[in-house]
Amino acid sequence: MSAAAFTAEQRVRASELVRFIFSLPGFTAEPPLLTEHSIAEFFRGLGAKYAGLFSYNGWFEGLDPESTDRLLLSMLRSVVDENVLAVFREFIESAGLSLFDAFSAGPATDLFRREKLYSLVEAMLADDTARRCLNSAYCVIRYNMAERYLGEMQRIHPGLYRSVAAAGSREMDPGEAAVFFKTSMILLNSRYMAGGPVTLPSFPDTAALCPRGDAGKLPCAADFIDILELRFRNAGYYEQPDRGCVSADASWFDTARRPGMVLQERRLAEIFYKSALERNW
Amino acid sequence: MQREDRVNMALVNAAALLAAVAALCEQLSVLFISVRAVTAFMLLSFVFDMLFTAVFASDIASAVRRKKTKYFMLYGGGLVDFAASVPLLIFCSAPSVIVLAAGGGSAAAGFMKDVAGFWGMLSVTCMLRVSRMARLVSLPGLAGTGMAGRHLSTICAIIAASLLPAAPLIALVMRRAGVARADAVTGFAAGFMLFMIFSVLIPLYSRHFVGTVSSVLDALDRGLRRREFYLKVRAREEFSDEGVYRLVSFYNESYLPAKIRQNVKSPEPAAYRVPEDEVKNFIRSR
Repeated sequence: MSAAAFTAEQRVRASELVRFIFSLPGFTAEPPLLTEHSIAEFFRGLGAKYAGLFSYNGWFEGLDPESTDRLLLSMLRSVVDENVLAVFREFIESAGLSLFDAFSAGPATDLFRREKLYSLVEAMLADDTARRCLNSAYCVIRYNMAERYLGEMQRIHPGLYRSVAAAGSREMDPGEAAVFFKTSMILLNSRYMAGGPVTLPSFPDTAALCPRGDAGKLPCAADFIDILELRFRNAGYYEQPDRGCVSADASWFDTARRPGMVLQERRLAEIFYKSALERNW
Repeated sequence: MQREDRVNMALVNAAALLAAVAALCEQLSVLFISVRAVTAFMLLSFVFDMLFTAVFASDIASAVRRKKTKYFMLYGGGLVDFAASVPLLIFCSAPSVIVLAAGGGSAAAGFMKDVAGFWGMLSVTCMLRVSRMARLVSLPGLAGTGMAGRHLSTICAIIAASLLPAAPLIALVMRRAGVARADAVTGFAAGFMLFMIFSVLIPLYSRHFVGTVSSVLDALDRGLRRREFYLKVRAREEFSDEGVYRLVSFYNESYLPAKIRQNVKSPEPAAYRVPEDEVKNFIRSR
């Protein structure tokens, strides 16, 4: 049975079930791209497993178990897409992308850049690996993580802020820097796509523009992007820390600042840990 | 826990608090207020005794169905619930109400009056009714129904059981000393003492136990079992020599960094468990 053959009622039921699972404790505060895989695993084989229950309650009448699974999985994907795209769309539509004029070959309209960036996000969501890795960009945009730590750096270490919020030879103000890092998170995640990294016209090559800093010098933009990506690549946001636990960012940065962890540049983790501890993030 | 269960639990807890206050008022009315007030509070206590007998019957039936009778009686507060419901209804409040309804003229009513009088002399009825407050530990904001709730229930039961024999002895001494209404005075004093102990102990000790033991163990459990759980457990320097906090130290210092390192490098996605029971209930409810 093709996707178009599902009735409106069957789709509504499947959508209700997916939205109900996302409303459960443990799922409600977590990024949908992080929990999607677990729900998809739960749905696989559910048509056969719950056949009696579905039939008793009049759900998915006329559907065989395999079609039920397919309906639930497609509805899961569409609900996640809907939630995730809304966050990316809001950022892309409201961000002033003209700052990239200074980093690319020539000027382009915001509309042109928005269309390109949004198409890239859609393409990444269609690619299974890139879709999952997009969790880091989603979290940074959704929870304003770039603004949060750029603000802290500016407050506590203005010199460090100047070093991090500089791309090429250009220093950015906090608003520009936030847009730059959020956009970079999207662009860098395109490296996980099946076809390899994508370079969008009118956007700079972030890896070339922000090379990794020399050892001993102050951390740079690439280190900031690195730490944000690692923090959220495979982790939730944990808006409400569990009872008995240290807050989420303090936990993560405290662990990440240790020698032997995955970070090449640990000074940012050290600073972010202190800020997160102080502010209970 | 479903919404209906939560509402029922909140209602029973509210009734336990009201029943304790009503029991204290009943003793107080014997000492200072009119006979009419005593009658009114006695009827109110009868209603509460019936309610808690029904609640106990429902709880024990549920425990039997789940084959957890022994656990419920010994560790789930079943003994206290039983002592504060069935004997009170059969031997104290029901006979009192029968005497009241019969007017005290018949031989049966006389017998009932003796039974009720004997229980009144024991001056433990007020304490037993106040001991229902031990149910409050199950409130989610306090200890809850997990390990903290079980520990606190046990502590409440031990306190109530150790104070119970004292009340009749003190009443006996006071009667011998010629104190007027010695049973009511002792009943009120002992009941009020227990009320105050529970009022202070339950919120304060719940907070302490949850903060330093049960929530720490819960966090450790989640951290060790769930792949994507990256929160550090809050360590307490002052307890660092204790077994639980030595485990916390190992988890924070060794296990968590290793887990993060492995997970960040791994292409495997996170593994959240979808609660099947809740999903089934949702499907059934639509």
